[in-house]
This record gives sequence, structure tokens and C-alpha cells, in this order.
Amino acid sequence: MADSLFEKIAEALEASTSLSRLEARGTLRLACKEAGVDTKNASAHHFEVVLQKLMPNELEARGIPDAAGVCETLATAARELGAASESGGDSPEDIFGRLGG
Amino acid sequence: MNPLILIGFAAFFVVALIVGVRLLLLWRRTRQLPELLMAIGVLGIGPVGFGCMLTGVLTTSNPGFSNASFALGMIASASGVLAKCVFNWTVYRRSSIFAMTVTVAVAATLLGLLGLHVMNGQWAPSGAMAWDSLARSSTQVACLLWGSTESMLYWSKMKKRQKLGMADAVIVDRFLMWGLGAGFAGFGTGLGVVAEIIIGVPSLQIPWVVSSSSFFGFVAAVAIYLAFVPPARYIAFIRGRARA
Repeated sequence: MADSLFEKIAEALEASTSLSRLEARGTLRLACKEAGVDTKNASAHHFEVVLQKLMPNELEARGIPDAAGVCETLATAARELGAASESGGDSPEDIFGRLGG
Repeated sequence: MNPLILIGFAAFFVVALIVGVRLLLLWRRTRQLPELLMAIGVLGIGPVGFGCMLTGVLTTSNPGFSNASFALGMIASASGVLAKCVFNWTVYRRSSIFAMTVTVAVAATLLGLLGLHVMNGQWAPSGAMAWDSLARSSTQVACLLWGSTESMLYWSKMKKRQKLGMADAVIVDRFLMWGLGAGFAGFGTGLGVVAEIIIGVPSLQIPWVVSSSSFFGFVAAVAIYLAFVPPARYIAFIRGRARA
């Protein structure tokens, strides 16, 4: 599920900026890696935080104008996408959260 | 035997029993597979498996009872190892064909080894360098170290998330503590396997191996306890450190 969420956000990033398909995906992957977020099982909330806190710097470094505005729009989109399809609570984080009782 | 050495083994036995039972009760509430797998893993390798095999060692004057103890211990231990393997695969590497293949291979190995004992009716170890005993111990070491590695890798990701406010400090610490606990348990067992191969004497007959096993068992016990039954003061310490 998160893989398709990643794809949708990457496509939206590509559409909103001058980044190519490869650059958009690569930049998003780099930011996720810096945040310790696995693109395969990340939640919408994870993507939202990555977009708000890390992506603006990444986009500014790549010369994208109004990086903060672009990221805020994408974060809102991620939140809405996530509301439609929440994870089933089976990520390692969810599981270890339960194991403490 | 130095009484201090017994402290490590006793700590591991008691903590694994407490944690394992607690996880079983948790599974009764949640009915989720990871909880059950972790419970079987902890109980099977720890108090049930190790406890029954130790009973077998201590009751050799009654061969029938001793053999039965070894049988129960080996079945429990194998169940625990397999459960830990399935946990590692399904929690960390669910979509990995390689992880699934490794898990199936572990299952086949353990079932094969148990099958040999069922066929010949002899469960007590036949001495040093018994290939089946070494194979079983090596499989256990591999599963524990796999789990430890995965937990530590995930801990490194969780630390990054915590800095961005995306992860709870106590859950982050749980990955670290479980990684350390499984790691020390695996390393301690592995040391015994290597010593047995090199020296050619059953590992429990090598004094320094017994001492080191006790030490590693004690550290593993502390880590596992802090992972799954953290005292309120420890939780407060973790949260306070996260706020700093």
C-alpha cells in the first residue's frame, strides 16, 4: 500500500516541479532515507512529516522555486490519501508498540 | 560450580518465563500472530527448552526420565527457534522470497533433526561434536542473530524518525533492547558451539564457556526485561532523555 502511496506522491512531486520522473523519485527516496522511513511500509503520516520537514531543503538545493509551498501542498495530498487508506497496524513499529503490553 | 555463575542462568530463566507468559496473555487479548510467535520463541528457547534439557542433564541417573526431559526440551527449543524465524520473516521481511526460503529451510532442518530422534528414540546428546546437536545449536544461533540484526537495523531507522517526532521513545528503545537481548543470547550460544568444535568437549563441560554463557544470559535477561516489561522508572528515564 505504501509503495503506491510513494508512487502517487512522487508523481505529484514530478507534476508540481521541473524535476524529471527519476529525479522526483530519487529526491523523495533520499528524504525518506534521511528520516528513517521505508518507502514500502511508510504511513501517510510519515510521508507528511518528510514532506514538511526534510523535502523543502532537498527541493531548495535543487533550485525548485517556492519549495515550502510545493511541499505543503504535497503534505496535504499525502494526508488525504492516507485518510482513504490507513495501514493495518502491521508495520514493525506497530508490532513492537503492542509487544510492550 | 561457582554460585555466581548460576545467577546468569537463573536470571535468563526467570525473565524469559515472565516475558513469555506476559506475551502469551497479550496474544490472548490481541490474537495477533507476532505476539504468539515472540511468546513461543522466548518460552521455547528459554525456560521450557533450556529448563527441560538442563533437567535431562541433572537426571541421568534415571535414563527414562532424562530422555523424556531431553525430548521435551528439544521439541520446545526447536519450536522456539522456528517461531523466532517466522517472526523475523513476517515482521521485517514479509515480501522477501529469500527470507521465506530461509525460514522454510530452518523448518525442514529442525523437523529433520527431530525426526531422527523420533526414529531412534534417543534424545539425550551422544557426546561432544554430535553433529545433530551442533546443527541444532547453530540454527538457533543463526535465528537469534538474524533477529538481533533486524531489530538493530530497525532501531537505527527509528532513531531518525524519533528526531523528527515520528516515533515514540519507548518503542524506539524496545528495538534496541530486543536487538541486544537476542544478540547476547545468540552470541553466548554461538561461543559455546565454536568452543565445542575447537576443543572437542561438550560446551557445558568447558568452565570458561559456562561462565561466559552465564554472563551473556544475564545481560540478555536484563535487555529482554527492559524491552518487554520496562519498569516505570526506566520508562521515565527514556522519555526524559528523549525530551532533552
